[in-house]
Order: sequence, then structure tokens, then C-alpha cells
Amino acid sequence: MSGDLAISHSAGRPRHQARNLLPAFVRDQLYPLGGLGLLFVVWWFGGWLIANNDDLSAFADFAPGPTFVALVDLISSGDMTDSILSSLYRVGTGLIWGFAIGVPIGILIGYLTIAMRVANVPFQFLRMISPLAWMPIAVLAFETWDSAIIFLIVMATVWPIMFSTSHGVKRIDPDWFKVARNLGASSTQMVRTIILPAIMADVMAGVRLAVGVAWVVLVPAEYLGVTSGLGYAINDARDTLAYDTLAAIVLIIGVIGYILDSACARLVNRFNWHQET
Amino acid sequence: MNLFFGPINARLIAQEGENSVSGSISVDYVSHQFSKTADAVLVDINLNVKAGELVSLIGRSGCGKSTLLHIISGLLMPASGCVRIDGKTVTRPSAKWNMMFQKASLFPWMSVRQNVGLGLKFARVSKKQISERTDELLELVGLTDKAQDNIQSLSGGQQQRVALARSLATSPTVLLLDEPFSALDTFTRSALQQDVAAICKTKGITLVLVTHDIDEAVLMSDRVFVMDQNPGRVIDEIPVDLGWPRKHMDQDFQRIRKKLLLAFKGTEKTEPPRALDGGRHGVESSAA
Ligand SMILES: Nc1ncnc2c1ncn2[C@@H]1O[C@H](COP(=O)(O)OP(=O)(O)OP(=O)(O)O)[C@@H](O)[C@H]1O
Ligand SMILES: [Mg+2]
Repeated sequence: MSGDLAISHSAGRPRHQARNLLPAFVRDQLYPLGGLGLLFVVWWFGGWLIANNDDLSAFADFAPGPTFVALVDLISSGDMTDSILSSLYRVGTGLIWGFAIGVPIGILIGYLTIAMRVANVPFQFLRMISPLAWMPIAVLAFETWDSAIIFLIVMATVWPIMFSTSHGVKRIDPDWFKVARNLGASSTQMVRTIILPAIMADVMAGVRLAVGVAWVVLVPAEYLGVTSGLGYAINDARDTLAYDTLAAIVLIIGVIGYILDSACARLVNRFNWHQET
Repeated sequence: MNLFFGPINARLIAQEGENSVSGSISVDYVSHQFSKTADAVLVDINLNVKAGELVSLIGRSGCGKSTLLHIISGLLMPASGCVRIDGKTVTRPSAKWNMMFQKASLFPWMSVRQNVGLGLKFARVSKKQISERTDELLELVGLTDKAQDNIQSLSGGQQQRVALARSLATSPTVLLLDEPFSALDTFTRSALQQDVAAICKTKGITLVLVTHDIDEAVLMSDRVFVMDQNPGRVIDEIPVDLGWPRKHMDQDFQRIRKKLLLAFKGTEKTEPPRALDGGRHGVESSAA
């Protein structure tokens, strides 16, 4: 009897066991890796089409082969390090300003209904303007290109941070204030122990959105004026017809963006206390 | 979960039983309206509660029970009149007179332990003392094994127990409860009713309980105040001279329950539409 069971079990199992042979972290990555592979195939196929089209063959360097050669070059020569650092510096500074402006205003409009009603229309209006549309104004208002670009990043990041913060504040259960006051909380304790942890998950979700927008806006912003950064590097590669380098930089931009986003996602998780349903 | 018979918990209660002879409340001529133009919610409320006494406030929905409790706790300032606890006028909330609400309102980003110890953290008690006190209280409410849990994984009754432990952590002299059991199922509710009454009795904590439930009022108090509405005022005061713990089946229990029902019915005439269908409706269902 038990022998029968054992046989029928193992007979039904082989596929599962084959999968179980892989380490857990590899199994988790199976689908994402598949997606990545698919993207690569599309890229490779596109490159192949271009290479075989007489009109387009000048752009054949966009294909995976030349791109990876250029990428190895870029990395080993260290040429990209400066560009990456100046781009990260701009995004980082812009983000800090966006945070410093967005969080307090977000708390205010989340907390005071009047502030919300006054601010809602103008803010929704401003939010809908592409950050890049501020470029001419930024150039006039700021002395250096660097600060103009940082200003654009601030204009991109402040809205998501502000609106998620106010959303977080609105989700605070008013009874929490009552309970905390009743337990003897001072105002600073109220802010540090109740308000900040309560809204942190939403603030971080806003930061994640902001990082995404900032990274997207940064590259076109760096097309102008400055002589450093990834956007500048792309433009430079285009002007020198170095399409393999251009594609390699695009790759770098994508990878860094992905890393930034994953880091933010971890932060969101770290602070998230909302129950998953 | 009757603490009068739980040996471990009874010992814990006894250890601190000596602490309070304080916690007397006097409410003097308290009237309240939420704005200058609004109708008065409370008019000339006068109550005296002795230290260590358990009292209930019963009354229909909207008669101002919660408002009165908020005023006693210092979360709300009355338009006129004053509340004194141990002779001192209440001007702001304090961990010494603690309010518990219908919802447990725990902080979901904190563990059960952290929730229980919060009042002590606010009072800047040392980590070690907080930890000891938290252990004690978790044992008292029977949640020792849930100490590290996320509060969102607890049942409603367990959450209410955590809230109780949190309120007790700061050793309050007065406990103000605003229908804290109404969202719980019958069994959990009756266990908690017994426990809370037992804890207050043994620790000498003064209890003011707001409830719709006449049985709960008889079960848990030395005296019951009946409130009427429009405007909210105290119309009757009924002593409950029964021993502890109390049992529904006792004749005396039923006698006092009837008395309360009658007093409660008296509040009904201010509600014209109800009076037509025999007027028993609301009372019977809330007492069932
Ligand atoms: N913040 C507030 N602003 C204005 N009016 C209020 C406010 N809170 C309560 N009221 C009014 O005061 C009256 C008494 O409310 P309260 O909450 O004290 O009643 P209650 O006896 O606790 O009722 P329930 O049994 O339903 O909890 C009600 O008419 C209510 O509408
Ligand atoms: Mg109420």
C-alpha cells in the first residue's frame, strides 16, 4: 500500500522536481529573466533588420553586438563615471529640494481642508505642465545651467511627493491623535512617533514616483547648455555619429533608472504598514 | 478569562492593588454646545464619582454620552462648568485618566509590545522598565504569546485587549470607556466585561463606562446614570448593590435590570415617532 503511494507520487512529480533543482533565487527570477531575454531578442532582431536595409545600414551600430563592445569600452575607460556622477548629483539635489518643499506643503494641504481647497486648482494646473516647459524660464532665472536643470528636476519631483504626502496625511485616523494625546504625547512626540511613521509609506511612494519622473526628465534637460551628464553624453555621441556609444549610454541610463527604482521600492516596503489585501 | 479565578493574573493584579485611593471625579454644572449657534448638547451635568467606584452612563444614541466622556478626559473643554479629578480641574488630557474608544485604534506600524508601552515611552520611562511593565500587562490581558505580532493580525477582541493594556500601562487612576465592547461578539464581550470590572475593582481604578447595553451597565457598575436627550442631561441615578462577580441569572440582577429598563423607557417620550409602535422597540433590542 505505502509502496503504491510512493510510486504514484514520484510518477506525478518529475517536472516539479526539475524546477526545484534550481536555487530559489534563480526560480524567482525566471520570469523577469525571460522578459529581459525577450527584450534582447527584439533588440537583436531590430539590429538585424537595420543592418540588412541599405538605407539604414549606417545605423547598424545600434545592434547588441557593437553596443556591448562600446559598453565594455565605456566602463573600462571610466569615461562614463563623471557623466553618471554629475547626472546623479543633479537628480539627487533636485530630489532633496522637491522633498523639502513637497513634504511640508503636502502635510499642510492634507491637514487643513482650507489649504487644500485653496491650493488644489493651482497645484493641479502647475502639475500638468511638463517640467521641460519651464526650461526657458529656468534659463532666465538661474545663472548656471546646473541650477537651471536642478530647478527642472525640482519642478518634476515636488508634485508627486506633495500629493502622496497629503494623501498619507488624509489617511491618518483622527482617533490616533486622540489616543496619543490621551497617553500624554507632547507635540514633538506626536510628530515623531505618530504622524511621521503614519505617513512615511505614502511619502516614500511619492519619492519613488518622483525619482522615476526626475530620471526621465533629466536626460532631455541635459541636452542643453551643460557639458556633463548622461544627457550631454548622448547628445555628444549623436553629434559624433558614435551610435554604438549612444546605445550603450541608453543602456546605462536604463540600468541606473532600474536600480534607483528598485531601491525606492525597498524603501516603500520598509515603511509600509498598510495591510496587503 | 474571568480574572477573579485566574491564579496567575490574580497575583499580578494583587501586586499593584494597593496603589490608588485617588481617582475621584466631580463634574460640576457642565454644559456644552459645539458652536455658539448650535443647540446645547449637554446642560447642567452634575456627577460625583468616588475614587475606585465603577459607574455607567446609559442613554440613547446622540444624547451626549461621548461628549461628556471627552469633557471628563480633557480632550474637549466644556462651554461652561468644570470637571475635577481628585480636586484638580481638568484642563488637558493626561495618561492618569485614560480613555478607551469603541475602536481599539492601535498604531499599525508598531508591534503589540510597542503599542502597549507607548504611554510609558511618552513619559520617558527607561526602556528596561517599559519592557518589564509591558510583559506584566500582556500577561494580565492574556496576550503574552502575541507580544511581537503585527496588530493587524489580531482579532477584534485581541485588539481591544491590547488597547486595554495600553491604557493600563501608565497606571491610570481613572478609566473612561466609550462603548469599548460594542463591536465584539457575545463571548468575547462578556469575557472582557468581566475582566475590566475585575481589574478596576482590584486596582482601585475609577471606571466611567458609556454603554447602550443595560446588561453591561448592571454587570459592570456600582451605580448607573441614566441620560436623556435634547438637551443631554442626567435624569436618574440607580445604585447597583450586587456582589462580584455578577451573574445574569440572579434574581437581584434581573430586578435592577428591570428598574433600569423603566428609567430608560422614561427617556423615550422625547422621540415622538417611536412612541407610536408601543415604544418598546429600541429598549428591547438593546437589552436583548
Ligand atoms: N464634533 C461635533 N460637532 C458638532 N456636533 C457634534 C459633535 N460631536 C457630537 N455632536 C453632536 O452632539 C450630540 C451628542 O453626540 P454624542 O456623540 O456625545 O452622542 P452619544 O450619546 O455618544 O451617541 P452614541 O450613543 O450614538 O455614541 C449629537 O447630537 C451630535 O450630533
Ligand atoms: Mg458615543
